[in-house]
Amino acid sequence: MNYKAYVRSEETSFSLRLDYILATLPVIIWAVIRFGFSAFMVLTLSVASALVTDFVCRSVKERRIIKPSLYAAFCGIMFSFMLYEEVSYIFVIFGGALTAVFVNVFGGEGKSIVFAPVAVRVLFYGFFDGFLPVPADLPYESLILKRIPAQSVFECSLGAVEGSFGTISAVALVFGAIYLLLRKNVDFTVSAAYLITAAVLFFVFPCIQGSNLESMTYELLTSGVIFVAVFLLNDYSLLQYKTAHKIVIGVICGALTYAFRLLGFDHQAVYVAYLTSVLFCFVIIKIASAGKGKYEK
Amino acid sequence: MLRIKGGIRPDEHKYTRNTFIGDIPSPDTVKVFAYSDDISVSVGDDVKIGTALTVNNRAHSPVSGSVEAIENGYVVIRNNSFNETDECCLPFSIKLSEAKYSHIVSFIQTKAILHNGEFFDNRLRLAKEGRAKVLIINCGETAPFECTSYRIFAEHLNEILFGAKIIMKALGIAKAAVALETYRRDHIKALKSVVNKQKFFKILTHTPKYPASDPSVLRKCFFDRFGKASGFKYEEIFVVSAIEAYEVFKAFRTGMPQINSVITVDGTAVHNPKVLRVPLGVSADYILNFCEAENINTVIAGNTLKGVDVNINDILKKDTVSLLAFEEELSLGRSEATECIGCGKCSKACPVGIDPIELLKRNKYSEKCISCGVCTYICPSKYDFSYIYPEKEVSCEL
Repeated sequence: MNYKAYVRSEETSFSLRLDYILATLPVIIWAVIRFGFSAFMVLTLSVASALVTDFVCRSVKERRIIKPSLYAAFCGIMFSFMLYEEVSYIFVIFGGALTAVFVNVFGGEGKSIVFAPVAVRVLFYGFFDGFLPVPADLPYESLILKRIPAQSVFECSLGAVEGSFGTISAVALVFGAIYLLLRKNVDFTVSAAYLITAAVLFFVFPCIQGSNLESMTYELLTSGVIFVAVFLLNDYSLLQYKTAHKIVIGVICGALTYAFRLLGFDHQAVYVAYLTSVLFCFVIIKIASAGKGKYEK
Repeated sequence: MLRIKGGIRPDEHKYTRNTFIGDIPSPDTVKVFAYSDDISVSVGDDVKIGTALTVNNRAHSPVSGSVEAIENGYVVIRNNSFNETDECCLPFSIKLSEAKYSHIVSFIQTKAILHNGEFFDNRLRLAKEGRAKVLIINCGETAPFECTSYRIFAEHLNEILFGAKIIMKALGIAKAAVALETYRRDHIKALKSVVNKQKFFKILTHTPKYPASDPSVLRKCFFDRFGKASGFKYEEIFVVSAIEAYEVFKAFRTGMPQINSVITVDGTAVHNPKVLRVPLGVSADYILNFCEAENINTVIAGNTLKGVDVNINDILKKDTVSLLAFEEELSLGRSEATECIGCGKCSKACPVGIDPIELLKRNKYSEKCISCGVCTYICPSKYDFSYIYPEKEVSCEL
């Protein structure tokens, strides 16, 4: 006869996913305030498209009717956060659907969820940039030209600037991070390693003219760095790694972000850095763990 | 302070923490598990309190009376309520300073001290063979509901320390550490006042997370923190529970073998929860009635994270530390599990460093697993990880 446990904690996988969605609320609210109806439409279409596609994919896979999962809604939200105001709704619907397809094929429960929306975003803006206009007055455009942006630090923090729906407001993102911290459902090891690495590199080796502190501040506040730290680097697929591995992922992502900025990559830089570092580290960690004892951390 | 990796902080439910250990009268009949095939008494024999029931002294009578039956490894004794003590139960006669390992271990063997499924004399022998250099007296109790060790510590601290000294003498260990949770400030203060006079004890606190007081976890934490720096090996750390140290002292002082156990009786169905000194061979039903239990649906020997199902008529064995009765049905099934979301909480919470979800997916178990139940408790997808626990003989099994 074996020992057994008789009680469980009250937390469920549904409540965990819901926490992540609730953490996006400050960002959603700010996006709707800043961009109005277009933000609302993009978000709604992206989430609806992802949910419907997820429902179809999982029902076909399981050969029975399955309710769409909350993670599909989260994917839709993440994808919409990385889009700009002038995006065509057709691309939003198509992108949301493609995100859900990618997640079902390559991700899903127990695997990466945010990798798919980032990958779809990079693909879309990489291959269809003629059809997907990017706003002219992005603070990031000044950074590429090695100049301090015209917008103030306050405006960049608050999000009173041009940019994608979910990445412009560092303040709203931080509120979301605080909520996740209070709920104790997050491990910010990767994010902390990422931000610290990027901050140190931007401070010590600034890419733009101006004081080191000013340079570092603008680099961190623009083009999705905080967004990557709060949501993308907290993907469950990363939480399963050992602490040392998580720090390595964060450091590599931070270093790549800096490198791409230094080389003058466009607004996709931070997302390409994220995808590259996660894929690279995944492969390296798999190889490194191959020789170790099985089923031991 | 020792910090454990992983672990959880469940609701404590330690309602009996401030109740003194009480006694329960022996019933008319006791049914003592023999722990051996070599039963030395026959039906009709008269026995006294402390009389050995087996040739190898693995079981003793907790009452005086006569042997009524011998069935399925149990000796059934009718209690004559005379409370006569066996004359052979004599205290340890050699001065501790002159006692040797062989004297101590052979004395302990006759007293059948059992805890956590192992007889203490066997554990002592293994520790001696392993050349134990470090003794940790585990006075912590992080499992929900359980207050047995807590109460023994509160009421019998000096006895625990003396018992520890006996063990140290047997193993030739000069210093020992007393481990308990950081929040027990009164106990730490009481311990300091005693320990300051006796230089061979050191106080070691640990986080009050479950299962920090599990011997394997405590040993691992101690080794991780001090072992490498101090140069001793993992096998040289010997962890003794407060209950064992107390029983050793009792045996040496009174000569009585272990004929009763201190257990916590609690749960939602128990209206008068207590910590009781319960004689061997008593059924769960008798104990729960004494504690005014009603509307019982689930009975557990152990705690709600690491326990075994008990039938109301089952006889408790001597290493039972707590008996819980609940009005609600407490059971977990795999049927309520949803898809694993890969949150890694089970792996992060595991105190011994294994990956429970990987084991479960591959239908394997790990010998390192201590069956603490943390992974099952914390899993948001409601998996039941008991399928990966190694099969170990559980002495509460009936």
